[in-house]
Order: sequence, then structure tokens, then C-alpha cells
Amino acid sequence: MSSTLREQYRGKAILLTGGTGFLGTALIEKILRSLPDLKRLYLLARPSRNKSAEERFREDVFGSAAFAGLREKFGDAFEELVSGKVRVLEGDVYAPSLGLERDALDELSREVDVVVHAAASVIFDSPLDAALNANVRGTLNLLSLAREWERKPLFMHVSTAYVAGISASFVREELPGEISPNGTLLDPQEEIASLEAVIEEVDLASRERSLMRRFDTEARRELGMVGAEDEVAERADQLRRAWMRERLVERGTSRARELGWHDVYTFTKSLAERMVLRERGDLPLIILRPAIIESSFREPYPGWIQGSKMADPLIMAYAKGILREFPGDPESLVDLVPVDHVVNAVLAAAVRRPREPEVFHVASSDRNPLRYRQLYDYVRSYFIKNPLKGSGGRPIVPPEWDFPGRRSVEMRLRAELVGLKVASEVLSRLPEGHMVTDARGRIVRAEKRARMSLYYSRIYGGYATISSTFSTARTQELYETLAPEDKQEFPFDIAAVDWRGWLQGAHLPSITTKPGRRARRRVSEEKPGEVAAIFDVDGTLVGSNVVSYYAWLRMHEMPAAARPLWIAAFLPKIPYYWALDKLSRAHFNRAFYKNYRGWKPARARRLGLESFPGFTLERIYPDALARLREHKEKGHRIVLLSGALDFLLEPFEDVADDVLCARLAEEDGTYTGELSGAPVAGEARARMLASFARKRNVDLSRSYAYADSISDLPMLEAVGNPVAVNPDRRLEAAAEKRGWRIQRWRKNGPAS
Amino acid sequence: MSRPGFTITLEKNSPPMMFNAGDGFHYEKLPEGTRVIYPPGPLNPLADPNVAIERALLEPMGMEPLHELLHPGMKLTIAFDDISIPLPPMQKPDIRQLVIEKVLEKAYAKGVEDIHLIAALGLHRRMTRAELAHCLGKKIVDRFYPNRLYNYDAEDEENNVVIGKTEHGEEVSVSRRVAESDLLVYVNINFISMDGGHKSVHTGLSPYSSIRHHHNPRTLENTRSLMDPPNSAMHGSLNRMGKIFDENVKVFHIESTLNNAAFPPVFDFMAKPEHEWSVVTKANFLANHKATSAMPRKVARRIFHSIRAPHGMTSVQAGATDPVHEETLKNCYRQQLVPVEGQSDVLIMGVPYLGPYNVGSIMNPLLVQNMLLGYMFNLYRGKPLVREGGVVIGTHPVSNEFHKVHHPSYIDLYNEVLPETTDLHEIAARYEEKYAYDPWYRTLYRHSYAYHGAHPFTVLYWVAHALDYVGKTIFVGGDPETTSRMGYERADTVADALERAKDVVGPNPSVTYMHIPPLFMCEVS
Repeated sequence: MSSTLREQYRGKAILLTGGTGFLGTALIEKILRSLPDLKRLYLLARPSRNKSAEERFREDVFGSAAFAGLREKFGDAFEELVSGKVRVLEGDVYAPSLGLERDALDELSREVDVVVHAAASVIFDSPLDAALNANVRGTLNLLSLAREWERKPLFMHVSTAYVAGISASFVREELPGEISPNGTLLDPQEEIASLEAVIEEVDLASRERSLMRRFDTEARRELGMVGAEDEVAERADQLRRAWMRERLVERGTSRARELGWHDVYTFTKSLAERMVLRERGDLPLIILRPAIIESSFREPYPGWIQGSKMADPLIMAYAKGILREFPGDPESLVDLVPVDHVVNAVLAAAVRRPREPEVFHVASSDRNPLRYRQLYDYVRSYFIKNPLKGSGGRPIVPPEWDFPGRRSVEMRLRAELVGLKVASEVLSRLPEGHMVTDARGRIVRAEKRARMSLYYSRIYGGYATISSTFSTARTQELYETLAPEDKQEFPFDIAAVDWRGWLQGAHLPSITTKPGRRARRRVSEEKPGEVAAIFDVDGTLVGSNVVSYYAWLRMHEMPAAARPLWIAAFLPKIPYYWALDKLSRAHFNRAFYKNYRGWKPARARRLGLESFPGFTLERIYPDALARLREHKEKGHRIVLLSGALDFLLEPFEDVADDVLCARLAEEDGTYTGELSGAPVAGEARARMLASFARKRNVDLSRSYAYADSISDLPMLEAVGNPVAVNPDRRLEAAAEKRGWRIQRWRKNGPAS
Repeated sequence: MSRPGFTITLEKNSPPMMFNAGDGFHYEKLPEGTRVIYPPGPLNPLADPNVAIERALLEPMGMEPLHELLHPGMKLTIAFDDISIPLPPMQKPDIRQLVIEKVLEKAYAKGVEDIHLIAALGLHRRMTRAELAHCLGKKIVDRFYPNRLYNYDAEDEENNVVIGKTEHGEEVSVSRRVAESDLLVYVNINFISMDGGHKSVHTGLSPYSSIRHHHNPRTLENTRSLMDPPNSAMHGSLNRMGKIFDENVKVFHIESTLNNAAFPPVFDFMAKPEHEWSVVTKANFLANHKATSAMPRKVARRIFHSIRAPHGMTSVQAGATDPVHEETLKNCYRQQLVPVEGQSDVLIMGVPYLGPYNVGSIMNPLLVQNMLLGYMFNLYRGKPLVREGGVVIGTHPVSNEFHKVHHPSYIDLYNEVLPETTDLHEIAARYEEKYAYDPWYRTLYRHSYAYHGAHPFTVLYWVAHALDYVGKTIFVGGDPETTSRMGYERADTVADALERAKDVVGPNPSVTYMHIPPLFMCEVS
């Protein structure tokens, strides 16, 4: 073929699925940039939760950094170019007839010359049902429609090189056979039917009565005293679905492994290939299998990437110091390809109409292999020069790996997990308190690190020990047939890539500076929730505590002469309370509030009101008050979250929008000395806060919290703007480590 | 009959004059020709207050006797004036106690059970239990406090209710308990002619939403004077509200008047003209003067605030609000009014340690100007003692001192608002609502002992008429910073102040020294 791709696409129409994805976005950009004579680009996409398909493309795709170059080039004409060339179809590959209207379907039938099916679920450990739906059912739906279309379009199925499975060594660009990677005879149709049976079975099991009861109990425990019935039911169903999901991940993975695939992703992708082959009818078919698609080599600009690709979480985990050892063989190959190479290969292949189905690998291991050791060296030297910053702003030193092998890494991790589990068992038997909370926090962090490492090892470990080399002979052949101009315009010669240069010059800078996933999520949620300013009371707003309040109330009632006697009687109990508080604020509260047994609520209320001018007011931190009023002026919701009793906080009703505090249980109009509900301390505070935020639609990520004690740590952690006020030693350390603001408020000092 | 008020003109060898100056005194010889007006001596008190009260209740004006208004099952509310009157607080027993004991006696006799006692404090600070006990006696407090004897709460939204609107569109809101009572007995002490009548309910038992209609710069500019109800726009508004109130609630008003026996014998020099001072009196004064200026201000303040006045009751009348109040004013004027011939260019007054809003507290700068230009300037009927465009001189240190518990919104107003502007209309428009609705001030008003967030504004508006009328105000001994922030001048001595006054009133001004306290008012012809 001597005419250029640009000419070959003249007057043609492409239907693209997966246009909102990483590869899809790059494809659209390239098509708009380099195929000006294309008649039409149809984009099929689902609406998302809060955006129509049209909006998804306009905002998320055309608004992405990938299009900055094109926008600059075309200026105001960019919108025109898009609206002239692109037609967005809101539909769903899972739905019958793609969920499209008759007119749209007729148009596709009349117009489409090429179908590029790039929609897939690239989650390696997705649950079986989701993977099957996304990767197999959607593909078949699209295919069966395309088969009936007038122009008999080319069907380009974008798959993955890893359908070759675990054991493969040198993988040719061949169609899938009758057997699975480990040689098991496999009928895809039957396999799909049996997988569906598995899904049904798990669903049934999840509705088993004892399980349902467990979900219900758990939901109640989590929501605690603030959960309404419907909230509990909703949470219980969430728990059920989570349980199901876990089982389905397990079942999918184990079946995939049984047949010789790494995971459910490659397994279902292979099933899709097999089914496409079987169901294609007389459509021309090309299966294109990229390896690990990574950020671009040249276009739209070097290093452009969207989302987190396969190798990136590993790289980031390494840079953050989480992944302390690598579970792979340093000599194994890591088969990366820049996204623009894949795009160009897709476009070069998609103009063909082969009589027999064809397969192309877009991979690097054959002609420009990159080994883990090299990758590690490049990455490490980059992060030594450009370290990530920890939460305290200190640079993180990337760990040194000595590649002891996957088995040894995993064994070590498992041993660590067992040890941690034992420790946390021991701790769970100790009463709740900040010493325990602290230790528990350390264990949880260590456990998280070990689990993450193990997770990476499990998910990616397979890939990291792969000795597979993916032949790219046919792809190279395709490249060679391109006209010289096309080789310039649509390059995909993998041998031209300099790995060190690409990694250190484009890829690593790009993945470390792009906004993290969490940050983006935060932005998208910013609109609806209200901002709250949450104040702890004892020690933060008021320089006082549970004991001195009680002492004041008691002494306020008695004649002055009796006071020293009372103090003398009360003093011996102080060390006991003090020790109890050191151990656990919640236990202390429970124990101390027994002093109120036998009080009448009216008396408590009266004394509570009197304590405000007589005691509270003198001990309020002026700075706290100034801060509170500032928040109030900004329209923030003022929340007092306190272990103090309700009657002491009643006078704050005009200042605070909400008071979440402890209440004493009443029986026959008298306090029993027991708390009604859990003590508002430690973890319970964070739980109350979370539940409160849900109910009142408060956006905790933008909210503020002020507290002074280590037992308030969970509550501070729950908000986006925590402030440690006059922190105790341990809270101060925790706050410094996390880079939180620390403030000193003085009694009766000027408000600063 | 006691000695009436009188005027003297100072001669060359007249003795120096004493001036009240906050928690201390000022002592200076005034120029020859200065007119000094002295208060009348205290009227003889009623021989037996209890008998007088009994008679007033039995023979009320324009209404049935109290006992006929009482019946079992009724809702009875007794409201009484708060700590702001009389000044200084009177020695026990307080008149309120005497009156209310009588009212309760009758109510019990008639089998009335649902009785509430409310301190009608409006936007003032709450009274403490001890203060209530001082006013009402221990017996009543023990019996009724805190559930049936309590402070009025203007910020308790549930317990205030709108009962109507005047023809001028003024919202009339009052305490729900009062609105729902079968009978309101209001027990008043008429210390000055401004108080009593319909003002009692509509400032004492009404929330800000209602009070703002008469306590604002425009109304108070047209209140000439506060002590002369027929010529007061504020009282016009109060009377309009009173009309609506009377249609809704039955009120039995009990008003009493006091003589001006304000100081115990230790301070006899206050009530005696300087030329009559004996050597002992003079020595006593000088000792007091020296002592108060030498001791720490806090100590001096404590001493002053421990004064309990030996006020005696001069009249008590009960019945329908209007006829009762008319009679009250007569009795009030009988004690206080001093006829004076002609205005003067300069008016000098000594500002005492105490005003209605700093009982047991600190007279902060805002209260000082309120005292001088709000209250003392307004102590006239007919025309002011000083001519229009004249100069008012007050003696007071105007220290930058505030009571943190009682006056928190004053502190913020002083620091936030006054540096920006001293224009009352601008202050009202820009800041009043912000302060009135501030949740923290509301909290302090309701649960601590703070004046309402809007109160310092009304205190400022009190001076609206004076600011409009007077050419210049000078504080002798005043703090340079506070006086200039409020827009006034200061001087070290009265002589110095008189020199400064000449810029406004010319080289040979007529000067009058109104010798307060005790309190009196002038009828200027």
C-alpha cells in the first residue's frame, strides 16, 4: 500500500468504544490531529453518575491536558472541529442494541467502516461478574450488532498481550486456540455459562439468613446511636455486596489461575477473544494486544498519562517507601509500551480488511526489552534526585531492593502479618485507651504496609516473574509497510524508545506531579457538603475537664464551710481516675460519670446553667472563642463534640449549631450514673462525626477540627483541616508527623 | 417641708467646688460669676410605707382594687424593675420587696396559685440570685427562684410573642408569659421621670425586635427631653405600643417615688453646698478625695459600689397605667424639679461613679458619655440648661476600662466600631444588627451576666439629642485616647476646659455648675 493513512481514512467513519479511557482519549486526540479527512468519529459511552455521555466527553476528555496542544493549534476553531467531526452516542455496550435509538443505529449501520472496541475493565482483581460483563458480554453485544451493519465494518478488538497466560515464554501473534495457557481444553461458551452459575451461587449464599443477620448487626454497631433504620438497612446491603464482591474476586481469580492465567482480567479478555473469533460471522477482525500501556513517548506531549497505569502504583509505592522489597525476578522483563505507539498501531492496522482474522502485539520485550533491574535503577536514581515528600514535609528515601525472589518476599510478609495479627489480638483484649490506640495505630500502619506489599505481590507478582517475550514480528511488518510520511506521523517502532530517557524525562515527572486520585475525588465532591468547624470542649474550648466540672457543681451547692471537707473526701479518688484516664478516656468517662448517680435532671440542668457564668466562662480560651466566631461568620457549621455532659453544654446552644455530647441515662426521673450510649471518646468520636456528617451533609474533607488530646486523634484525622490546640505530648508528636497545624491558646490572653 | 433647690452665684471668695469624677472627686475653684444650682433637700418620706402601699392597692386609680382582680385558677405575673434603679441601690428593705409582699399576700388570700415573678430587665444583664434577694427579700427568692422567679429573656424565641403593630408599623412583642397572663402586676420604682408608665413593659419585657423601634438615633434625636415624656418621641412610641398592649393584657401598675436621700452620712458633703461645709465636712471630703485618688482604682470602686442609699418612699400609687403614671410624675417632679432662670453658655457637671448600667460594675467610656450627655444633659423640662451650640463640661477620668463579664459587646463596639466612625446613624446602619444577632453575645446575655449585644448601641443613641444640640463636650481629667476616640475633647482642669470652651461660646461665657448628685432636674424659664 502506498497511499498514506490520511488518504486511506478519507471519507470513512470510525466507531470507538472506551473513548473516555486512557487509550481512547489518546486515540481521539490522534484522530483529530492526524486524520483530517475522516468523515466521522462516533464515540459510544455511558453516562456516568452525574454526567451525560456528552458532558463526559466535553469536560473529561476534550477538557483534559491531552487536548491542550490541539486547542492551542486550532484556537476557537477547536470546538468547531470537534462538533463537525465527532458524534457522541449515549449508550451502553451491555444493553440490547447498545441502548441506542433506531435512528442512531441506522446511521451506524450506513456509515461505520471501522469499529475500534477499546472499552474494557482493566482492573486485575475485579469481581467475576463485573469482569465478565465488561470484557465479554459488552464485546459480544457490540459485535453481534456490527455484524448486521451495511458496510461490514472491520472489527478491531483491543485485547492484551497477557492473554498468553503465566507459562508462556515466547508468544507469537497468533489467534487463540482451543486450549487455555496451561493446556486445559476450553470451550469459551461453556466456560461463560459455568462462570455465570458461580455468580448466581455466590449471590444466593450472600442472602443466607445468618449472614444477613451478621451484616445487620455490623451495620448497627458501626452507625451506633446515630443510625436511623433505613440507614442501617442501606449499610447492611452495602456490607452484603462487599462480602459478595470479595467472594467473586476470589472465585474469579482462582478459576483464572486454575486455567493458567494470572487473573480475572486476562482470563476474561481471553474469553472475549475466543468468543469474538467464534461469533464474528463474515466481519473482518483484528485483535490488537498491547502489553502494559504507559505514558506517551511523544504525543500529545511526552509523558502524558491519565489515571494510574499498571506499573505506576508499584512505582509510587516504592517511592513512598511502602514497597520495601520487590517480589520479582530482577532479570524478568517489564513489557511497557507508550500509549502513542499503541494508538498509531491501532490506526495503522484498522485500515486493513483482512480476509482472515489477524493478531498484532504492541509490546517491547521482543525488540527493546526492559528488565526489572533496569527499571529499578532508573526509578531509584530518579527518586534519589527527586524524592517524594512525606506528610511532615520530609523527603522519603526510596528503599534499596535486593530482589530475594518473590517467594521469599511473600513469606517474609506473611510472617510479619501473622506477628501483627497476634499483637493486635492482644491489644484488642486491652481496654480502649490512647496507649492502646497508639500501639494499635502503629500496628495498623505496619499491617497496611505489609498487606499492600503482599497485595502488590499477588496482583503484580505474576507479571513481575514473567519470562514471556511477546513477538512483534507482524506489528513490525505492518510498520515497515507504512509510507515514509506515515512513519513520521504515526511512529510505533518500539526500538526507537530510550527507556531511561522516557522514564526519567517524561514518565516519572508526569506520574509524580499529576494530581493524585484522592485529590481529584475531593474536588469533585466539593459542591454539595457544608463546611463544619468542630471543637472539642474540655481542654480546647474551655480550660477545664470532667472532674473539675463535677467538683465545681458539688461545691457550688454546699455551704463554703463544708467545701474543704468534701475536697478531702474526694481527693483520694483522684489518682485512680487519673490512671484510668491514662489508660482509656472512654473507661474513665464511664467510671467517673457514676458520681452523678441519683441526681435529678432538673438539679443538673440548673447547676449546668449556673456553671456557665460561674465556671465555664472564666475558663474559656479567648482564642478559641475568636476562632469559633470567625468560623461562624464564614457561615461554617459550628459543632461541639465533647465527652462532657449535655447539661453543662446547654448554654452553648446559641453559638453551636450542633452539640454532640454525652448524656446520662435516666430511670424514674433520676440519673442512673450510666451513660446513655457510648462515651464520646476516641474512635467513637470519629464514628459519631462520620455518621453526623453523613446525616447533615457535612463535607469533612473541607471541615476544621480543634482538639487537644491524643484521644481526639481519630476525630482530627477525620477532617481535612485538623488543628492541634495546646496538644499533649503525644498529640503534638502525632500532629508534627502529619504536618498539622499546632496552636497554643492562652487562658485570658488576648485573642490572636 | 425640706429645703427646695436653689441657685447661688459664686463670688471672688467663694470656696472651691467639689465635683464627682467617677470613682473619685475633683476639687477646683470656679471663676467668679459662675452660677451653681443645688438640688432640693430630700422630701420627708411617707411615715409608714406599708400602710401607703395597702391604701394604694385598695384604692387604685381607674381600676378595681387589686383583690377584686384576683381569683383562683388565674395566671398572675408580677414584673418588677431591675437593678438599674434606684441609684445607688437602696438599703433594705427595697420598695419592690414591700410592694410584692403585699401583692403576694393578697394573691394567696384569693387562692391564686399560678404566680410568676419576672425581673423586667429588657436588654440589661441578668440579675444574680443575691441581687434578686436584695430587691425582693430572701423569703420570696427562696420560695420562687428559679422556676417561678426569673430574669426576663429577650432572646428566648419561644417565650416572646408578637401581639400587634402600632399605626406607625412598630412591632409590639412581649414576653409570652406576660401576654398569656390574666393579670400583669408591674411594680415600678420611679427614680427619674423617664421611667415608668408604658416604658416599663415595652423596654423591660420586650425583645430587641420591639425595642429597636424606639431606641434608635432618629427617635432619640427627637426626644427633648428623655425626662419630659410629653416632649419625647421615645415616649410617644412607647405610648403607642402601650395602647396595643392594654388591649391584650390587663395591667395593674404600682408605681412609687423616692426622695433624693442618696448617700449615707459618711458622704454628707455630697448633699451639702460647699459654703455650708463645716471644718469637719471639709476635712471629710478632702480625706475622701485624697484617699480615692491615692488608692488603687479597684479598691475605690469597691468602696463606692458598696454604698446603699437611704432612699425614702415619697409616694405610691396603683391602678391603670396612665393615671398612675401621671400622679407619679407629679411626685417625681415635686422632689426633683428646680426652677432656673435662663440658659447658660457652658454647663458643668460632675459625672458620678454610678449609672443605671454599671451597678456593681465599671462605668466604661461609652457609659460615661451616656451618663453625661444621655442622662445628665437630659435632666431638664422645657429647654436645656445649656444653650443650643453651647459647651458641656464633665469631670470624669474616662478610663479605658470595661467589665468583661457585663459589657462584652461594649468592648467590641469600642474597639471595632468607634475607630471607624462616631456617626450614630452610620453606626446604627452598619453595625447594630450584626451585634444584636451575634450568637456569642446572645449566649452571654442569656447564660452569663452580659448586657445584650444591641445594648451599647442604645446607650450611644441616648446621646443623640445632646450631640445634635451641644457645640462641644469636654471631659476634665479624661483619658486622651478614649475621649478622642469618642469624638470629644479633654482638659486637665475646669479652668482649662473653660478656656477651650471659648472657641465655641466666645470670650465671656455664662457658666452654670449643676451640682449633681443627688439627682435633680431643672425647669428652665
